[in-house]
Amino acid sequence: MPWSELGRVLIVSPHPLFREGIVRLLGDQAEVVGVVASLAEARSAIRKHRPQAIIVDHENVELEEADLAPLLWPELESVRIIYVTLAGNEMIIHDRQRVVAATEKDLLDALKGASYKRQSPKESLREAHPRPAQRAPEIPERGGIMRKLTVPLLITVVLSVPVALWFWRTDLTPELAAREGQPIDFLLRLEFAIAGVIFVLCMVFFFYSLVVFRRAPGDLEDGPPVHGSTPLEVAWTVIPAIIVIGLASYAAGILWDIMPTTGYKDELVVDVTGFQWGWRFEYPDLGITSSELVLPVNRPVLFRLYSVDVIHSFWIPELRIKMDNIPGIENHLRLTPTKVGEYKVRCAELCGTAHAYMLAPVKVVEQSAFEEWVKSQTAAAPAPPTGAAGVDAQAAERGRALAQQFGCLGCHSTDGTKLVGPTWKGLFGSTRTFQDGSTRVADEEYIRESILNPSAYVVEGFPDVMPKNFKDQLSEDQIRDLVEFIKTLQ
Amino acid sequence: MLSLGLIRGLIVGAIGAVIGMALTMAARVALGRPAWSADPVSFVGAISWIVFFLVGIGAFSDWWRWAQGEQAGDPHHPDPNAPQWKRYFSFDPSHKVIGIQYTVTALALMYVAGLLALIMRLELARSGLQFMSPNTYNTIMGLHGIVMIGAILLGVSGMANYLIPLMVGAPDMAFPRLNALSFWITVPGVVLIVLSFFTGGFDTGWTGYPPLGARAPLGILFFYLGVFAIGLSSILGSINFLTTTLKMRAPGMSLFRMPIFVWGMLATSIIQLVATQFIGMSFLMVVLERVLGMGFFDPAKGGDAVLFQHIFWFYSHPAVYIFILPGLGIISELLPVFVRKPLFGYKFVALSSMAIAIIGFLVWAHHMFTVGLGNVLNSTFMFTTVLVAVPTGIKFFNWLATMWEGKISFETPMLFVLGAFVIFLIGGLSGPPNGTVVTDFFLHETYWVVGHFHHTMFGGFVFPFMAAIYFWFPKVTGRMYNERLGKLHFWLMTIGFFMVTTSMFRIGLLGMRRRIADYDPALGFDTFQMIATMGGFLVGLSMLVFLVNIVRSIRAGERAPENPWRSRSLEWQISSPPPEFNYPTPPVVVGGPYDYGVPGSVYVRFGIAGASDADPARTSSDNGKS
Repeated sequence: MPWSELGRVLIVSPHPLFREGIVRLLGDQAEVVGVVASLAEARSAIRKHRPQAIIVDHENVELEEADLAPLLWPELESVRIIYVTLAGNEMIIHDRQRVVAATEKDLLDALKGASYKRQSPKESLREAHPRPAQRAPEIPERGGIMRKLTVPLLITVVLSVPVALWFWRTDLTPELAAREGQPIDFLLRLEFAIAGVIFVLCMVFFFYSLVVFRRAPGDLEDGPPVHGSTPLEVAWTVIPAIIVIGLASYAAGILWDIMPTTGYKDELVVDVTGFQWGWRFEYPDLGITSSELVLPVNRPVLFRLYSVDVIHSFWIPELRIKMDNIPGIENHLRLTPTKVGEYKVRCAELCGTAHAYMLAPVKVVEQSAFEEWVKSQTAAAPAPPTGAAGVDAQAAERGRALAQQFGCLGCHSTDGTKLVGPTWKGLFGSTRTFQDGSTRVADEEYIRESILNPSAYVVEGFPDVMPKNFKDQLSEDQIRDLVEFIKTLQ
Repeated sequence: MLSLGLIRGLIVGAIGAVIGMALTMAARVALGRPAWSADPVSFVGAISWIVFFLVGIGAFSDWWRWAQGEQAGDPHHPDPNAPQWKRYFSFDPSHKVIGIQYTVTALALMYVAGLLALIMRLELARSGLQFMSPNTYNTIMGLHGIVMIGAILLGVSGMANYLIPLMVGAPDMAFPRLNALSFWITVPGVVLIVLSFFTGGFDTGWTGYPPLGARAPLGILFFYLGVFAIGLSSILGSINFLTTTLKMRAPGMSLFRMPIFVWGMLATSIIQLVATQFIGMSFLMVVLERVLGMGFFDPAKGGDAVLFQHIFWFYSHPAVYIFILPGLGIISELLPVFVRKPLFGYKFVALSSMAIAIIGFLVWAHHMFTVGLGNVLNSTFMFTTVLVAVPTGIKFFNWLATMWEGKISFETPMLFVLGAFVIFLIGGLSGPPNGTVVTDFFLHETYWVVGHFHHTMFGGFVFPFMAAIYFWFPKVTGRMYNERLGKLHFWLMTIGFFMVTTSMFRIGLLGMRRRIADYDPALGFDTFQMIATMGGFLVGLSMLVFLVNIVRSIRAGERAPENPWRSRSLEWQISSPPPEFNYPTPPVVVGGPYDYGVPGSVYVRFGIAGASDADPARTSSDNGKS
């Protein structure tokens, strides 16, 4: 063997005979970088020559491994320190391993880092001298391990199946109403099932250990000193990596499927504007503005998402995918409703005080019903109720449109239903009771002020959550139109 | 009274705040503007408060003396006639004093934030508004979040301060005065956060996203600045942890002979040092929007609302690893002691912390899957995110292998370690559904995420923190805690916690949104919410049991034996509580830290001649005596 493979060696011994003997033994198989007589010399030799191994004459019984420790700091972690004693015919390799009846071959093997025969602790010669000792056999025979693992592995298999099946077959999410949601639900079930199996695996071994390997009272012995196993480490690094990368790759495929960057043919465009705290839906191709979202079933929809104030998030749980409405940015979301029914848009990004109530009704209807709805929205507005004294019918009609456009009707009903805010039906002329117990008759000035400064009068039983920014959004004329509209709702 | 640093700090700080506000108002008048404008005046007042508080408590006294060329007295030897308790309310550089200051403050904050959680749980117990206005709820929710985050950061610093110098065999931290400054700067910060509640609150949650954050009530200004102060503390603290760990280890303690908790703190400190600036900067930018009208995140002024989220999450995602890596270190640290076996795969466990720290920097945008980053970026961040599962899995499997064939006993610290294992496992397994983009489209901003997060925080911090407190209680106080009360604490907390989070997972999948004070009764959440509320109160009850146990045991606990856990670690080889400079004779490390069961193995020896001149922390190896 060429010397370079054994590396650079430093020899430490006060005895010339020992030093020369080792040098001669190594011959040209190692590069002897230094031969020194004392530890003090060894220190400077180590700094100077950076040996890969140090052979120490262990004859001197006072020389403990601890005495060498200062030499080891800091970058000499990988240095192999070998104590050789002629008296006991033994050899100790730094800090743990010990070879009794050492031969020349053992020394060379140790220098090479190759495996060598280990002795059991009972044969140790040094009970009286607690020294860095040898380690017990670490890895029992293979058959033994497998036998010990049989029971927990069996339990794992038996429990995994029902857990995985339960996750696979249980509906944990709300009813599904969009084509794009199908692969999402599928992936969710898959992830839950896999997580369930991993959970069972860990928990079985966990509780098995807690039960089987619990310490008997009064037992002060330690367990077997097993330090690790590189094959196991590799296994439980690589296998989880494969699982998660596999899952993520599969998910990426779904992502491109359900979030196409180009449009569908025949898609319906809806502009969704979020504001504190309501939604406005505009159908640019149909000329409709609405505070409720009406969609034909089985037709792809492109939602263009906007916000006029802070960040909101457009989410219909039954349609699964949510996307943020961000001021200054136009986000696109494509969904295809597949189930006729009534749902709700629920703002999913905290947007201030009344975030919890930022809802809007959603109706997924048959194509024919949708066409009818479009017709009713675009047809000439019905004649305003006449006869109410002092109502400007045209202004009231403009007011109705504004109320829809600005989302007023998201919180205020026109038919007496109690929503987040007080209903407008019968509002005008009624006597209002406020939180502080005071009262006032709702005249034009009251309504105007309540729009501009909603906190001035907070009606009893309702939270003070109305946006305070309408004075920036509405002109005086528009406010007058709104008041006229409210006056018609008697 | 005035001999107490804290009192001086409060008085000088208050005076400073008034001066700062007065000067700002004077400057405004000089510029021809109305004297009062809430945001700018409060801003200067708050900054002056922090600075003057620190001046008052004496944080800069020694540095000031040095700057003038004077000698500073040895701060480690305070007036021997003064009572010992005063040290805890003063600027004291001993790492053990600071560790206790941090830990006690952290516990106090946990109680406050827990109380806020219980108030929220009461409100949420049924649909409809019970007793709160939506805005109060939002503020309490945001405060719960940020006060808990503060509590966790302080708790981590508490454990690290007390343990790192002891575990590496050092007499103190590398920079004791800086260390005391890191603690004391959190105090004015916490005061500012509390103040936010009384100055209008804030309706943004702890994330403080603009544009909402720029419009929120004045309270959010104090919130931002309070977090800024705590962040600064975090950065300064990490400098100390890194330097102490890298430069002051006992001779013989190579990196791979360090206790594993020190490894966890090494990874944590790197994140703290590198990332904390980002949340500070993001919050400061919103403050500047409010105070000076700058438009970083305001699209009307050419800003970008999403930019904030990038900067914010560049810290705030790695931050969760700041919270959990020390806790996972505690699990790895205590497990071998109670299993009586070496930590399986020590190097892999140690390096997995570093891997988590590094990967943790590459995943921030998974909080932003719904802001419209596009498929390419979204899937990139999905891949980096799921990779975190790999080093985390390594820890779990090594823990299981450590337990295998051990001799397991079930004292209170071990119970909390085992509880942390199960809870954090569920936290980990509930992560991939959030991490994969398409399922996150559904789960984002729901209670599923809330459940996931609380599992990671309880498993990664709260349970390990409790384990650590019980485990080192005899070391810190010299007395034992009450084992029966400890176990009662564990069982109440565990059962309560699972009642809370199981309900959260369930309603999250049904579509319960986060951060709402009220929910639609038609969605069928009421039963689960009620269970969660009852569970929350069980957790609260368990914390009362804990308090009783700690207070009683400090006063009248049994005297602790020298090494009650038969631990091999350095700190258990000296008296409890440890002497002022820890090790009367310098320790020398001669073996591995967890060689339980290795016949005749030794980890540390004391009083070896020649040890100190090879210690590079005290003499440089190249310029030394050689």
